[in-house]
Amino acid sequence: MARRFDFDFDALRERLLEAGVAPRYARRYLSELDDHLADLIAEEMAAGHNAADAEQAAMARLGAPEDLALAMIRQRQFQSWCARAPWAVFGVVPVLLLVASLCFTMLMLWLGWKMFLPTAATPFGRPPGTHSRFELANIYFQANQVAYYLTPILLGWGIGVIAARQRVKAWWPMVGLVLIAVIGGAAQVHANRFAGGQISIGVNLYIVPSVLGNLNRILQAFVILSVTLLPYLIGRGGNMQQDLNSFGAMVRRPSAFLPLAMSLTALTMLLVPIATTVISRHTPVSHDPDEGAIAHLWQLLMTVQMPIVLFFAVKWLRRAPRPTVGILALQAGAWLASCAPVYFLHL
Amino acid sequence: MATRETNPSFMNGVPELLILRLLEQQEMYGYEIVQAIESRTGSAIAIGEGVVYPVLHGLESDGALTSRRKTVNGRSRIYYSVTPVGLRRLAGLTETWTNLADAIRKMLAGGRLAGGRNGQAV
Repeated sequence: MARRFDFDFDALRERLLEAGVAPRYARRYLSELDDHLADLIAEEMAAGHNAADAEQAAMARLGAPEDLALAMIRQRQFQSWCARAPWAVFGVVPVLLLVASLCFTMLMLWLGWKMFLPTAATPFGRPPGTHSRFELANIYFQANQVAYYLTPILLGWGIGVIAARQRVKAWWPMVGLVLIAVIGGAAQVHANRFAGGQISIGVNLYIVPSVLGNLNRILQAFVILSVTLLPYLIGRGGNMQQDLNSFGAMVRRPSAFLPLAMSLTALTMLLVPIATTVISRHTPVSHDPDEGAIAHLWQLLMTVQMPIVLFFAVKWLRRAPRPTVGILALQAGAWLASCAPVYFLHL
Repeated sequence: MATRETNPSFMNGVPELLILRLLEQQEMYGYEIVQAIESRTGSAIAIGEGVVYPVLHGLESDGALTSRRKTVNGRSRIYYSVTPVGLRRLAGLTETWTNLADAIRKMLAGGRLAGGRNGQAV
């Protein structure tokens, strides 16, 4: 809300949100208080007060900030679900959504297998013959794979955005992020065709009893956690900044941190298979003519962030040049870091 | 300038009654409601004016009020009006407070009778 009066609406909003009032109720309350204050000032000025005295008198009539806050906080129906049941919002719901997403992935895999590879022993291999990467079957399976990898990250970002927006204490969001990372990392889809032609598709959540055997899952969980934790920590740090044009407050803007998160995601997507290959001493990473889902996702992340960076630069360079230049440098550095493995390792 | 304090009794069912009674007659926005309460009660009920909104939002959340945004003289405001649920609630509150006021009036009258030093009937 643009500051029209001396009344500290920002402090009142923070007080309400920290006490668990749902953002939509807080926003509407502040909007009506703002209008009410304008009416009171107009009334006091019509009564002959000068502008400063009229504002002081109007603020006194409006009520003490703490009284205004308590009047809202005491009514339980205004509490957000994050305040009433944080265990459900940050623990149960994201896990259920992740499970639902895995079920959807398996359903799509089963449908794709039936439609495009009806005779193949597995839906993970490439169909015989020469195929374009833009062929419908390829796009279908790649999109499904992207959805499989992206869902835990999107859920984690959702947790971070909700927690930062509603000023939730860090404990429950962290539990949610760790749960999503662990399940997202551990869940491996498998598909088999038995001798009789029957198809079996499922998800394994087991942890094998060796570090090396779990390496891929541990790295995947680590990637999900780091990619989702960063925006949350930035958003949380930004909430504590009072100066809206400070570096901390600026970096929490979606157009600032999203490109950073995208570059980090792209980089870790490259590093995980490389690290797995090197540590487990499997076949070196090869350049496949059909680049695969990770390559497509990497290209998507690196391209989509360009207009976001441009928007950020156009909007903020004039208003707050110094922090904007700093953040643009960070974004450029992250982008280059993500490109480095492709260039140096000829991926 | 001292900040206006909210009369504690205002937070115990009286605001709902007054607001529902006012809105029964016509739709109003928050500032209008507060001014109407002050003028019709002769400023006997002093409130921090901003606390009227949680009461309005609470009534709306309970289904007793509805709101709509309306632009008047170039300013967009949220107008509130009573629903059938609100009318039923008003009837209940009116009965409760009428009975309570009668009881208190009788009690005060009886108190003066019993406590009157000259034994005068009132």
